[in-house]
Amino acid sequence: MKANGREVTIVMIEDDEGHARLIEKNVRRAGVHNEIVPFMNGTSALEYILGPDMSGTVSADRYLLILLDLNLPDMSGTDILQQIKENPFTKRLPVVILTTTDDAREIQRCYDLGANVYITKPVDYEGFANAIRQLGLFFSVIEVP
Amino acid sequence: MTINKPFVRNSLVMLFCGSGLLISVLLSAMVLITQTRETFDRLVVERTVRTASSDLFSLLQDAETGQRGYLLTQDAGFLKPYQDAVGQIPQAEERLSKALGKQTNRTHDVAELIGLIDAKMRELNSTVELAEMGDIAAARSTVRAGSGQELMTKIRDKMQAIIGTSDTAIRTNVGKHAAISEWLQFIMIAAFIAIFVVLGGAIYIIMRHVRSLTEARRELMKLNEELEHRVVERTQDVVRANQEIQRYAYIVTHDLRAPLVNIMGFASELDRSIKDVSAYVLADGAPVSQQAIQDARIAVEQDMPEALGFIRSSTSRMDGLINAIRKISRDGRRQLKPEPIDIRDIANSCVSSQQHRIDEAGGEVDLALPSLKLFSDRMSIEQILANLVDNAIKYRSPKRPLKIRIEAVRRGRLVDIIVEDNGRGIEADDLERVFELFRRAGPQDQVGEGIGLAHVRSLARNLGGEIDVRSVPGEGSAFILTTPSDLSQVLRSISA
Repeated sequence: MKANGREVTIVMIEDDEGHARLIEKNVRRAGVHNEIVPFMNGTSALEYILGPDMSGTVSADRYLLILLDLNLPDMSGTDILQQIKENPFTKRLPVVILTTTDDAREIQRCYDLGANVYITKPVDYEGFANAIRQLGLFFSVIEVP
Repeated sequence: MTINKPFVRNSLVMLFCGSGLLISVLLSAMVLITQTRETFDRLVVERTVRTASSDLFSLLQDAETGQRGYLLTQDAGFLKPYQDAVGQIPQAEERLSKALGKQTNRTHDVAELIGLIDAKMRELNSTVELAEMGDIAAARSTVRAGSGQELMTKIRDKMQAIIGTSDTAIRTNVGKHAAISEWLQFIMIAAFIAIFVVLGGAIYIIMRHVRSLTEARRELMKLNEELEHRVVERTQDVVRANQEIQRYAYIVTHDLRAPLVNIMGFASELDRSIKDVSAYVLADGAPVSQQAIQDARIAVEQDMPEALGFIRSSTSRMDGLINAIRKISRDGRRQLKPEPIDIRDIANSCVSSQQHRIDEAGGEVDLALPSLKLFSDRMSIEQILANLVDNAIKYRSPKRPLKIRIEAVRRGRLVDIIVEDNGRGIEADDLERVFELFRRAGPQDQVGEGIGLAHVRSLARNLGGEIDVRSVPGEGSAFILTTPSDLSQVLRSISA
């Protein structure tokens, strides 16, 4: 999975180790072999995506795909989503929301904030891997001059 | 209502007394007035009798004087008063007999008196006639015979008797009149006093009744207001409880679902591994590819133990969650036991039980709170304080030595217990989140399940109180427990 000839890095923000392992296994099984950077909580993930100064400049020329669990121990996933989508350097990064609830209001709120895909766990792994591949292609579509 | 019965009874009694008094006053006044008229009438009659008697007697004397003068002098000039008097005597007689006829007790015989007068008149007449005829000597001898004198004495005696009787009657009646007047005056004064007393009593009773009515109305209004206030309060409580239950249900289902997803996911991973293994094990002599052997090896060596490990840890996590929920629900059902407690004692024992950890952190505790008596559930207060102090130690700032300050302030029926620290603080967005079940705020560098503050909140609310927090990120937090100083009142109002 490449964008503009460069490998896309998958950032996985998921506090549940089991979930993280399942996602990774299925992504790999679907033939996606991009690097996966896992985070167990929102604070460290945001630090990675926006940089220690939270300015977002570190991601200016990075191609990240973010898998975001809404339910994190230290901060809510919607807060992370909002911060990513409000930052001029990171707002184009595709975000896949992963959650165990199917609360309609919550789904709506995530789309309003700019989420690209919303997937409810337990995941349909085939569809899930497919969505990730598609989103990888997304970069090349956007970046084509 | 209970006020009405005595009021009705008292007013009726007053009304009867008042009207009875007035009627008796009127009746006695009427009787007395009738008596006054009677005595007055009798007075008039007696005076008429007296006047008539005096007039008649003086006419008789005039006639006698005229007769004597004529007999002495033979001067006809003396005959004039004699004749005038004689002319008037019959009229005077009639007036007297009429007046005597009006007397109630007729003791004197008018006929006898008139007979005497007639005899006297005849004697006078005969002497005057004798003198006119020139027989002075005969006339004088008639006079000298003394029968006229005798008659006159008799008439005088009779007259004096009549006048004496009248005088006595007049005196008696005047005395009666004065007595009646005195009675009337006395009755009027008594009536005035009675009316004043009855009226005053009636006004007093009415005033008292009106006052009690006003008081009852004020009480009712106060009760109404309180009721409204309580309804609003209860409605807020119900709304809050409902929101909390929804939030709780969301968290519980979400958090229980997370391990469930693992179990399901790794179960299907196991399924996949079994396929890999069975491709090798159940080959039954058929040639097995190198890849299949490799897959089976990986499945047995890595995938299957990993899947089983996750399934096991997920089930124990679910068990842990269910236990935590059960703990909170058990605390909610625990019978609260209000007893007299002193906040300072509880704070002291709470701090001393964690003293070694505070010492390890190089911290100090400011326990400058006053002795403050509560009537509340000891165990709940102890657990709340222990949790808050534990959090203050756990989430201290690594940049400075730990400082904890415990304060208690009485605020009317409530008591504020404040646990303040100089720790890492809480972001504004997380101030509500820290109280939610299984949620924790800030860097996850401490062990914990996110149960402590949820537990504290449920304990505080069970006591009819509330827990709140204010914080400056990076500088410290203050948890404020507001709780009623008398729990038994809260329990009574809940069961009411």
